[in-house]
Amino acid sequence: MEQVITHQHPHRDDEASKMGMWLFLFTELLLFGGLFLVFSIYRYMNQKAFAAGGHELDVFIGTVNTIILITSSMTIAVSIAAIQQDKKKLSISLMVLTIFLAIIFLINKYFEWAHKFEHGLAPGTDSFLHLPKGEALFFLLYFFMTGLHALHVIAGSVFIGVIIFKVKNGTINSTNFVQHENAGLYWHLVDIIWIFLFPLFYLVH
Amino acid sequence: MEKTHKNTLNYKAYIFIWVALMELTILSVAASTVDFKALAVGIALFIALTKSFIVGSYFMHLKFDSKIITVMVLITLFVFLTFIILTFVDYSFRTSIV
Amino acid sequence: MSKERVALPTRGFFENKTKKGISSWIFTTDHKRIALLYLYSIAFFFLSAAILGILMKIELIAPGKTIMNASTYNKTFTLHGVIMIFLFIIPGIPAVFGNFILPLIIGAEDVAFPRINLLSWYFYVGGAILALSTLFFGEGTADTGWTFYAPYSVRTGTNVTQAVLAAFILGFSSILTGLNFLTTIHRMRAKGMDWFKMPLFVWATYATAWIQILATPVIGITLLMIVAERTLGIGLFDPSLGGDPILYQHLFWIYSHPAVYIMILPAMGVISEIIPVFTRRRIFGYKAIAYSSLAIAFVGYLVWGHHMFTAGMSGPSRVIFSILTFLVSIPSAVKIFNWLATMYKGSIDMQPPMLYAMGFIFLFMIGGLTGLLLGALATDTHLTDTAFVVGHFHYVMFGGTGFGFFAAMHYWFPKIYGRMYNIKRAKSAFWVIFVGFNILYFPMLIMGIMGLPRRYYDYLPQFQPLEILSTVGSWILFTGLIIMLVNIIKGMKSGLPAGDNPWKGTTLEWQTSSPPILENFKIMPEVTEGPYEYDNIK
Repeated sequence: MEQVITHQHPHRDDEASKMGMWLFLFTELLLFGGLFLVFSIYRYMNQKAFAAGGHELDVFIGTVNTIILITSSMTIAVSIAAIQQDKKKLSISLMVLTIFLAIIFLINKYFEWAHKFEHGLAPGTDSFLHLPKGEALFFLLYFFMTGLHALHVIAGSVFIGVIIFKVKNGTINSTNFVQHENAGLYWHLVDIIWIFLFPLFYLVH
Repeated sequence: MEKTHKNTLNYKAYIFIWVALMELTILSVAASTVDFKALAVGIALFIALTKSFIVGSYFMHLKFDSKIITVMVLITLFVFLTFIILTFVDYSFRTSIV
Repeated sequence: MSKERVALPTRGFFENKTKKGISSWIFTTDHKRIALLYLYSIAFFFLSAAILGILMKIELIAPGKTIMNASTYNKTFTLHGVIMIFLFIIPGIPAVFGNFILPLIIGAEDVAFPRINLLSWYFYVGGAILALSTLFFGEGTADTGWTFYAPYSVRTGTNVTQAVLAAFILGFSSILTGLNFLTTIHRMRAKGMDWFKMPLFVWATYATAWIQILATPVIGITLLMIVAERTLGIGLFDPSLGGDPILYQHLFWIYSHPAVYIMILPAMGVISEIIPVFTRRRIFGYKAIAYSSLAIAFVGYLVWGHHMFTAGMSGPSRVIFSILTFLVSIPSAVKIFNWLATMYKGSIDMQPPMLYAMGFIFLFMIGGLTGLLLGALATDTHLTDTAFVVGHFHYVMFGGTGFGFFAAMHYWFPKIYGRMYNIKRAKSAFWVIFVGFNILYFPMLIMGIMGLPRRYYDYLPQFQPLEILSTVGSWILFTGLIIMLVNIIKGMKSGLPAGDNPWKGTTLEWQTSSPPILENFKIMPEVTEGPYEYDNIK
């Protein structure tokens, strides 16, 4: 069995593609890392304003979204375990569930943002300029960081969508699933970034 | 030439990890209702770090993959830490911010 | 020059049986063809930016307006900087020679991700087109300098947004190259080539790849913040909202200082390959050179603050950054001493690659020593933003990386094309370039100490004699570059067949045909000894 696979794909090296994926995740990590650095410096400079800003955010929606993302992380992890055991249907439905959870996450985010915009917290508007100085920074960072994170949620969902397609047509199967694992890795990273965004914005007052 | 590696965790284990992550989330929310003053950030970050450690080791299989990837992760975190520390070296000595 | 064009014994990878014409190039996944795509695009941008440099020097030949006004001058030096940094020196050696040589020198058939490799070239071209498109819209190309400092970069009406996005895309290209090389080095080394049997160019590429991966995203996000501030009003560096413009400088230099080592480390790797070959000696201090590459990569992350000594950082942090800056000179000096020790009592053969390598050592040392003056707080306060800084980084970047690039070009040319350029003309081109270089940049060091600020299109009349000298130097340098270029193009087309191993090198790339075949090696090589054992080759 092993012999045949090696023969069919002379260039295939699962370890290498996993390593490549991890290296890519490092760049994502440092992309957000730059923003976390900005956040921590500005928080250090404007502690009271940042606490006041944090009070404006809805802890309930934040907690719900955290639970959603962590659950979706679990479903994608199990879907990889399923494909390894050749349970194609289970694997696909778990991935569909992952994308479904991602969509709910984004819908929540949308309502949250819309709510903020209604209260005059849209960057670039006049009412925004009248916010206390540090609080303006808090909301700028809030929109920028959660916005960028949301883009990654969308990218991750598309990635998983491609994997669903590939599992369906058999390109990904119980002997060749490294792409599936890589999609999972990406999704977990999106989760980890949220794990830090959530307490920093919503919880620490 | 072992190319496919075996399933490292069964479904139950993943559910168990999920429960642990849920508990930590609730703990983190609960901690935010108590006024820990200056410690609050530290506690929140510590819980977040624990959660990402769990996600990294089990969901992302760091615990079961080749060690070189773990080393690479540590290099990355170390470099990021130096960015933070050295930037703070500047800001913590600024006289205009008190 | 009516020499007969001698046919090559093999056309190697230049022969393609399945695809013909341009599509065999722009859809290729062969690392050798991608390297050449990079080479031709990079050479084009290098020459364009060099011409911009010539124009700037002509402007400076006399005080006041000579050929362009102040705002055109600002745009010219910005474009010169952006092209030279992002389109020439950062991708330069890794994308061209890393791509071509790295798989050969470690005995692999290609890089780990050939399609991503091609993708990175497309990002490069896309970024380049976007950067140049700033010339043709609205108020023209950015006038901020290549550093895009906030708050000016947020306020200026010129096309900063496009320029910044171009740099973002080019960063992506650089990341993908680094990711590819790192995985390649980890996974695809020839049988028997353990870490300490790798040629030193591989070590240098490895260290570079780590910087590309870990530092580039920081500038990516920083540049996105500038874009967000310009287009969405997300004013993160806007003091009226409580932001701190100095934080922009921190983030910018967190990338851009390590980026200096993205530029110089591969050049150092090239020099470490060339010197043993042309002295016929095993490299002195192999491990020291290998480790010093890693050390430079790491210490390079710790010193960015020395670009900001006068920007308004706190006092203690300036002292700390200054001390850390001096640390970088240790691994750099380790390399220089080991190269000199390799040459000592060697049978030195002054072929063109060796000439460029020695030019590198000489000019890089001037660059490094002037760097010490800028790393020390007291002298830096005087020298910041003077022509001295411009002189310093041209000695390091052009005298270092530029000469390293030319050295690599002359060293691996016969391997790439299977033909040899005219050696005599290559040597004379070197001397014209070397003399022109020093006449151009050394006066800048002197004028800087005398207090001439950088980035001004005008100056006090007492600087004119040195400015004229410097401008004349730029013409000599450019003449030398043209001689070199013509010689290389002629060699490409009609040089004599060079044979598989014209320099009698011991590393693996010399063991295959010139030009290499599509699969690189007929039989995959195995390694049993270190890379520089010359006793076995007569």
